[in-house]
Amino acid sequence: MDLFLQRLVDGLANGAIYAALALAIVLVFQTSGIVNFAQGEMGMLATYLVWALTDVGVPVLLAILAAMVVSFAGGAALERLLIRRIDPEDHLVTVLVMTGLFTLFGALALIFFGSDGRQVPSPFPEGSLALGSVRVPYATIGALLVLGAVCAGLAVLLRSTKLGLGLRAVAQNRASSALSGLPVGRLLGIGWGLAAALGALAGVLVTSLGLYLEPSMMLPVLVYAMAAATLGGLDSGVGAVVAGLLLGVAESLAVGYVKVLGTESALGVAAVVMLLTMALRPSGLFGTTKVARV
Amino acid sequence: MTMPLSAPAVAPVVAARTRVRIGYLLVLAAILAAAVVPFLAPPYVVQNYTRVLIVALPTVGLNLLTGYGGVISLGQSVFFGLGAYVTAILVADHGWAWWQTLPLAVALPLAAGVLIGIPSLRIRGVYFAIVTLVLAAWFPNVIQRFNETTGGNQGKSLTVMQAPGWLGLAQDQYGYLVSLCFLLLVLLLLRNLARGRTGRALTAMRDNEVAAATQGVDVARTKIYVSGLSAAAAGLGGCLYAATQGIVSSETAYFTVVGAIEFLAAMVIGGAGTVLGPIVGALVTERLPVLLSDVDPQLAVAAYGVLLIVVVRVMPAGLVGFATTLARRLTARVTQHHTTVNARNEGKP
Amino acid sequence: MTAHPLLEVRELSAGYGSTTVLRDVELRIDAGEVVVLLGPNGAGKTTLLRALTGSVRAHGDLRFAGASLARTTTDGRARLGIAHVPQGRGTFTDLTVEENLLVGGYTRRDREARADLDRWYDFFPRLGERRHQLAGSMSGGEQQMLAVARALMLRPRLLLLDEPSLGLAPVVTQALFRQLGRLSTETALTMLVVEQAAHLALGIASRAYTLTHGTISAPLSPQDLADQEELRRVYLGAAHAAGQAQTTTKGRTAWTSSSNGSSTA
Repeated sequence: MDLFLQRLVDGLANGAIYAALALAIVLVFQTSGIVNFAQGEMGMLATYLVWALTDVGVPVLLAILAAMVVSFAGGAALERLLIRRIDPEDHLVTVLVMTGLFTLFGALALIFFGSDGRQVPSPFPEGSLALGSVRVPYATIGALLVLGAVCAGLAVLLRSTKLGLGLRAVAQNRASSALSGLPVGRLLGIGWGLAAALGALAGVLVTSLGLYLEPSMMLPVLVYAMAAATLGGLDSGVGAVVAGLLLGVAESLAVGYVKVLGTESALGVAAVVMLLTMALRPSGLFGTTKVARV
Repeated sequence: MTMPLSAPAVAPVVAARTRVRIGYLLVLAAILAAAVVPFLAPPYVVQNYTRVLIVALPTVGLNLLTGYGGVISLGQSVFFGLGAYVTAILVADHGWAWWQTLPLAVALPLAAGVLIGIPSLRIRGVYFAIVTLVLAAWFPNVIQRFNETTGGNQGKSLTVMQAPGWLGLAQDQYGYLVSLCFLLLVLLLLRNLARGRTGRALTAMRDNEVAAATQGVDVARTKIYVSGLSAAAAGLGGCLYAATQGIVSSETAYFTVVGAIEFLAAMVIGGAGTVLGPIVGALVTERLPVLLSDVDPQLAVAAYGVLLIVVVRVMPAGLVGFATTLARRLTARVTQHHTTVNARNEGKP
Repeated sequence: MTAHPLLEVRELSAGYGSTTVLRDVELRIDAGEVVVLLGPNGAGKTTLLRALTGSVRAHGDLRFAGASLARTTTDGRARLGIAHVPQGRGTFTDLTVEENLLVGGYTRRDREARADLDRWYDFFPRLGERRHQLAGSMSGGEQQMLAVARALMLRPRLLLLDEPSLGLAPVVTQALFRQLGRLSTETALTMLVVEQAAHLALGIASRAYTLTHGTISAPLSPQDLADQEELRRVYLGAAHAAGQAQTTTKGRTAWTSSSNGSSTA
């Protein structure tokens, strides 16, 4: 039982990261109708920024804040310069541009930082809380709290503010929003900016949980975040978070209990979840957009 | 009495015929040039060009799938890797000769391709691409998982293909020429395919699937068939890779997402939906890192990223498409001029 | 006539891709007028409205309150005061009625917008009853009222309405036009109405144009409208192409009471 709980706790930690990145993907999808699979790489670059800042003595929390702000600006710029001209219905162009960005960002990281792993100071205290014989690392609690704060913040923004209403309107019906005078371009940029900042947060959470910062660190996270976004429903933020946490736990339990899988099969779990979701319930658990032909 | 064709009506026909003739000449010249390379260049250059030929194979397959079939896949690296490992394992651990592994190295990816073709029928464009991306990301882990057989990230070495003595060729030259022969064979097969029923079905499907279905095209079967063929081409490439490079591992870039992206980039840069495109593209993606290796090999990868985005927006038909359009305009103008001159001359009593 | 028309259109051509839908369209609307655009299906009436809001590419001279609209984006034109109630209504189906209206008032100051909410809830009581209901769950007629109210939240200087009666029961359409007539009389709101149900629209109109195959007719004045023979000739001429010869007899009573802005039919 204790082993189960321990695995559950470990799973939740990863789940929080998957949820954060999945939320970013859903945010972009709702805003622009595009699945941004370079989201992870963008988060990775932001984490390198955090490292670079802490390396010159900036306190870690400030560095994270700065990286989030820079990510926001970067995301907005990307939307304005590149994304706005893509027709989301043209799947080939979308895939090519997203792949191009994915490749470019990964290569930039390798060029400027090389492939060696680096340690990034964690904003969370070291050590863990002992609940019975289950160890709950402070980092895990921290990650879950951060996720909670992000969700709460986004919910308040979207439901209770004018900006949030504008974002929702643009996501639902861009044409009608324009006709009502909404600054559509600016709102699209803000949507991408928020998503990029979230991606940065996801990247920082990865290193805060103990992993080394290196250019390919976000690929497995991206895979799980995609699976989570698909499972939850590409246009459902709630779905993304729930599915992210679920997948984190499922991964931890599956790998722990089903020995034949081994740690390497973790990504396969994501692939299977994705395929099953697309085959059985194309709009995901909570969403409405169908990813499969009916 | 028949009316003579007026000059403007004749010009396009003449232009087309000229283009075809020039096209054939160019192809012949290209093949000759390619055949001569191993005798002119030093071994490491020949090996680089061998990789161009090998990379062209999964790219040709992807071209069939995406350029003609409309399915976007980031999974060619998986089939490439499957072919490579079949060959590597059979040669290194079971003493087979490399060419004996060919049928299996092609058949296993073909089966896998058919299998992946089934979900592609229902899952739409970009979402299917994401699924293939996930599979491509997973594949190196699978290699690692079975590392007793595959050698995991330590790699597995096998003896490369040996040139038969009577040919008097060095090993690198032999590898190059064998790869060239296979590439030409595959291109020939695909050309016949394009002209046959499958080709017509694909063209019809590309324009409008629903319309194609009403005309009796079995859309599902064609798509699965093409998916299998595309994977088989990649598998062949993998087999040749193992047989010429002599080592495979889970770290080999071609078996990872990086490789999948390279094949896609090669297809796009060269020109999707054209015959020469994949080869031109493979030339770019394989030579670029070598040319930039003094600066930074990663710079080449960064360059693909940029190229993908730029080409898609600026030159959607790729290099070959762009060149073809250019050639078309040139030949049209030249033959127009000639035909007008001739007509004028003939008009004189 | 005032010196500056509110809307002035000259040599307007517009189309989709390689198809030209509108050719050399010319019209003008003065402040306070209600102008009706008549014409058979496919004539390009919707395209004209979309050209005015910049939702479709157009060439020509478009002037709003004297200034050219050439470089203004769609949302920019809305901010200038051109409100469009599109065909199909463009409702935000996953937002509540109140949220839809707040989106309409996005560009206004919060306090003003909220004050206007109450005003339009009074004007369209059904909306007031359903303010926290999801817009997508409302009937066609209610969504139409919502779309009009949303456009009005902009405090527009010019209101464009594209086939407001489409898909609505006759009773509902009459109620809608009654309200539109009220708006015109009480607030002197300038309107351009595209409408197939000509008799209702003409009841509140001061002028009309006919659009056939992308070309526009000369404007019809109130005298022309009062002259039923003239109107029938023009309208029949246009409607003949679509085979709608039957509608005119019913609408005759409405036309005669056109000048005071209320339609009773």
